[in-house]
Amino acid sequence: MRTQNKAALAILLIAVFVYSGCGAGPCGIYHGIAGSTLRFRYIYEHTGPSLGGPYRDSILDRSVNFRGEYTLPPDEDGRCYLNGSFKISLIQTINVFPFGAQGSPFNLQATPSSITISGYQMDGSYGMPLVMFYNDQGAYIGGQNAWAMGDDGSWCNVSLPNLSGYYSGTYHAIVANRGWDGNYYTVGDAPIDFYGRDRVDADGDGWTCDMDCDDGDPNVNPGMPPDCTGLYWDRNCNGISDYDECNPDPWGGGCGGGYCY
Amino acid sequence: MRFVYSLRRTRYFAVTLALLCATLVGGSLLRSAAFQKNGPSAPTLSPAEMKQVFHQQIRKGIGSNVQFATSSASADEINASVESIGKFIEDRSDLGMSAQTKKRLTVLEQNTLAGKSRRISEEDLTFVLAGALLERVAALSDREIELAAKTSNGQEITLRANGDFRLTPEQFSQQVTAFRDQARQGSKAIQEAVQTVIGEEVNDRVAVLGEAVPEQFGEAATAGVTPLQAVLIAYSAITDDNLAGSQDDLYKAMHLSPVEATGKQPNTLRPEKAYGPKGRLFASPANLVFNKRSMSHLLDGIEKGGKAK
Repeated sequence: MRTQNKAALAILLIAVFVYSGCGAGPCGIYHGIAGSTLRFRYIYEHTGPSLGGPYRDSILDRSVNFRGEYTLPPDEDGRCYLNGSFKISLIQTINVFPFGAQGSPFNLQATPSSITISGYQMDGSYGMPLVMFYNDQGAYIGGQNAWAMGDDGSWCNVSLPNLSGYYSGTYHAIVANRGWDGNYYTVGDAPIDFYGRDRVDADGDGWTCDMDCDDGDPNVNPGMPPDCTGLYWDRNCNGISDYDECNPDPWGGGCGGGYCY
Repeated sequence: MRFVYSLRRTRYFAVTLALLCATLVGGSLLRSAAFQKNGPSAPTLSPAEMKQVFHQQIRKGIGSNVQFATSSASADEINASVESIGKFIEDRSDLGMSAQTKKRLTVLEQNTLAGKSRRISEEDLTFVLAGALLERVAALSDREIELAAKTSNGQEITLRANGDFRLTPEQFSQQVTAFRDQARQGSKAIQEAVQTVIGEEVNDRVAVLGEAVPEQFGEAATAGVTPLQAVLIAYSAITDDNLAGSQDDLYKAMHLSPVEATGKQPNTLRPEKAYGPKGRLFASPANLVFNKRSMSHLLDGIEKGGKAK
């Protein structure tokens, strides 16, 4: 019985821990360059307190919906480590071509097992191209290598990932060639339209489940003010505990870069 | 980068799952000494010798890096004591003590050392810690539970490192939801279950620390602990940091840790920590209880004297 109690407690802690970052929004939106380029390299200088001082690095990144600004995603635990002053000093664009997905739009209730992506400069010299799928929110769904491609590099066939839990919207298939060094280099982006399964608003508060962090309670959604009575943990779904929002530290925090208590 | 994050998230979940099981389901304080596993002479030591080595490691850890103030201490000395514990915890786990918590702890410690407030017993500490945990559990939303279950990508969720307690995502959701609902209803059975678990963890730590560093915790079992000691024990129980080993020892242990072999990728943007949410030796959801709201409730409970008042 004692062991079962511990197991139950472990389940709960895991549940809370795993989700702890899922309600968090983006860390920040930083202006970059306008354009439709999906692949870019940037060099940034970070001067916030979270890293203990100035920090420079370069990151090769891929992002869909790149429209002249860069949304810095949280780390895997949902926290924003780069939360200070963040200045992008260089953005180097790399050619990424518009590709197409044959047969688009697709019904999410009856998706084909494979699709054909058309484009050019796909290269199978060092292995089949990798196709990475992102949903309409920019979240990564999965990546698979193409299972067939044209000799002229103008098309490839790839299996679709399992989309049973996904909703209508314009998704993206990012195609990357395998280079001689084993790394994958992006060459194209194929938008793919999916329809047939719309997001629900189970509690009828006007916020669908992608935005509403508790779609079973109409009193919880991003439009609510933080709850200062202690009844809710994060009533406005912004990833910050309502307690912290209602009780600003009169001494100014002083937690360094770690988890603050 | 999202691609990389997704891979890391999956791996991290697996590591966290295994470590949490080892941390919360399995056991006692002594089992988690990475130094014992990796020490060259560990296999040949008798249980008594192993205990002695472990106590030495505790003295190298908390015994050497934390200063507790005495009853005649000045305000500055108490403040320095609070700072030393805040730094000790942050160095090991990335849990940073806020200025607000430091101020409050300083006052509580001062009152206790001056005899204005009584020391807190093991039972009282268990009560306030369990309360903080239950509060967070009761606040879980359906979506949080659903997403947690989905994180295993439909695979069975194993709750113990040795493979016991396998649950399907559906079973996982059902059990967590039932537990959450009972916590919301103020179920006595759930409260007692959580208090039993926390009580064992607190009791283990008080006993081991009392033996290993009697100059710091010698009176803890009989006279109770000060607020600062209570926070340190709470930290140890939640993170499964046995408070042993210097920073140097931890660094070496981290780079010998079997975690390396699991493929967990180091976070290159921050210095790695041995314990806490992203711990390389033992990862645990310590930020559940070590956040401002829960810490405020914990200190409220300590201030009120726990269960008795």
